[in-house]
Amino acid sequence: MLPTCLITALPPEARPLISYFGMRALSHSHLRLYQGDHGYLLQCGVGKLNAAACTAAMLQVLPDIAAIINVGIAGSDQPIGTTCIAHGVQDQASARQWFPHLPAVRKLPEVNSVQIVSVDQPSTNYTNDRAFDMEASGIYSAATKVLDLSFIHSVKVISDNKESGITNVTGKLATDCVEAAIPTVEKLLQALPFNTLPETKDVDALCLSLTSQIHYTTTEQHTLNQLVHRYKALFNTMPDENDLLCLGNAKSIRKNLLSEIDNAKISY
Amino acid sequence: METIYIERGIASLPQTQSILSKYPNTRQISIDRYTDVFNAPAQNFRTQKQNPALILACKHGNRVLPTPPGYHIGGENNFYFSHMLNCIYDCRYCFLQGMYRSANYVVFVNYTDFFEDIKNQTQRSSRPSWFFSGYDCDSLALEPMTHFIDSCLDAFSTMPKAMLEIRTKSTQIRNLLARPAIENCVVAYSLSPAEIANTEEHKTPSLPKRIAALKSLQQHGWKIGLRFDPLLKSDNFEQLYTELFEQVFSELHAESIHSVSLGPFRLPKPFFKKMIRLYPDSKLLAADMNMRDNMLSYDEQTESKLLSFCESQLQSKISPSQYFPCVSVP
Ligand code: SF4
Repeated sequence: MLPTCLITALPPEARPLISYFGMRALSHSHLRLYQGDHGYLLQCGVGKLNAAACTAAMLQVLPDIAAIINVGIAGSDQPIGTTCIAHGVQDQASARQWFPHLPAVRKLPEVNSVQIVSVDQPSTNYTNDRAFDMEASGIYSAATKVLDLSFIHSVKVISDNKESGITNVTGKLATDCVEAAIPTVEKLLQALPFNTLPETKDVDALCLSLTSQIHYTTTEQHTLNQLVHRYKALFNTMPDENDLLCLGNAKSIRKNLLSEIDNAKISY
Repeated sequence: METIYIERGIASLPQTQSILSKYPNTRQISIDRYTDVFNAPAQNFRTQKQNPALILACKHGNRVLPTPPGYHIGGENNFYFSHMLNCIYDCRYCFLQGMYRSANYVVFVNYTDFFEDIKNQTQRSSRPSWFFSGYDCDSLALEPMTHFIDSCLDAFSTMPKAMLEIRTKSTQIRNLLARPAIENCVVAYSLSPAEIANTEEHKTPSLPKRIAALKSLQQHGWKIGLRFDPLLKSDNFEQLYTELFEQVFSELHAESIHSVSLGPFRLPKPFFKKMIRLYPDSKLLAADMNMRDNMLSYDEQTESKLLSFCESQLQSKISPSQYFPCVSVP
């Protein structure tokens, strides 16, 4: 599994996840970050601006993050404690919306999907098919700059509804709600389609090694990466690093790789 | 199909209801316009391909469009239409991967609007007009769900001046075999050597199955077409294509084949660049390519070698009137 970052708004929502996933605090001057075996947890504070700013900063600090799961509480006309996954996220103020690409139903069989509407002020206009929160749209707005919609999800647990309004939401209730969502978060982590991402580690490592020893412009680095990928696809093996280093400069390496690629035999 | 998005405007149409009834245990999500989901940024075609959603939508306008120059099988007026965007198969050379952000399937359920546009287009000329289905999808692959081609054939059977080509790799021909063949329809199969199909045409019916489907259709009286498209280079190209032609023509009645065409491998540059990003591990896309007329293709020499070899092989199997070179998508 590639590194994932869970994002919650407040400490009562973060606490059960930190404890369940055995996370420890990371020291960072602006971000409240925790690290565990599966990845990280970011506590972003209340509201979409905090959520967007912290998500963007976190993705800059941790560029290896491959997925984000927002976990928190929401209001809806569904029973308190119901866990839902967002099939749509809308920013109420701007009407902007996102549609996360959800895993198969059979991978999250007991979880209903719902439209999440991120509001600037708590809302009590409860309906069955929507859930109100205050962060999801901020997270999507920032995260979709870097990740794609198969890897950004929002899991919400209903904390308030027509019978039990927002004034009844306590820190303890928020903690209990998020605790109840942990099995869903676990299943979602397992269902993320990391296996569809191309394997680039060895190509990236070779390129990094070459570019740290030989002068490359940014454009040349990009070309090198493409050529090494093509070489690997055609020959099913990596080019020999020492052979390439012996060529001495970026231009000669490019010419050598191109000539090998041009002469590659393809047969079925 | 696990997730179905439904445009609110077509939710109550019988076609929509009929499709939904086939998928009772799905997430069904109401949306305003299919483009909100399908054209959204931050999507990954390769990732979505593992678990595509279905989007039921209405196609407003631009339903029937002129084909690009050279895309014809002898007719003067040529149009294409797509009742669906994307495909259940996963051919590594497919331009749809480069054209769309999303791998979700869009099905336009306002079938009758398509047929009305086809009828209007046909009436604009005294000559027959050709309508090509399967440009942005495989025409038959989802037929058990959509029944679009079945309705389409009902419509075409009342329009003798409108000629239909159903382009496919699918063996979903039950509906075609359950009805009498009509004169103004050609069912055209895209065919590649078995080894290439097995390696590059993921999830498609095997070559023998496609040939068996062609044979059944031919026996049932349907006009059939063969589309050797795209021609992919390989060191054992001559052997592969010789075997392919042997396999195909030993099973089919060559004289009654409606049309045979060849298609060189070509991709618009932006599509190609996107496809390489999605599949840096693809041998087919990693091969040496040239830029010509803003298209990525094999170098001219390789391309003409592939074409002339196949043409010379076909000469002994079919008559010149059956042969139409280079009917290619896109
Ligand atoms: S069958 Fe045609 S439309 Fe479908 S993936 Fe293959 S090339 Fe694309």
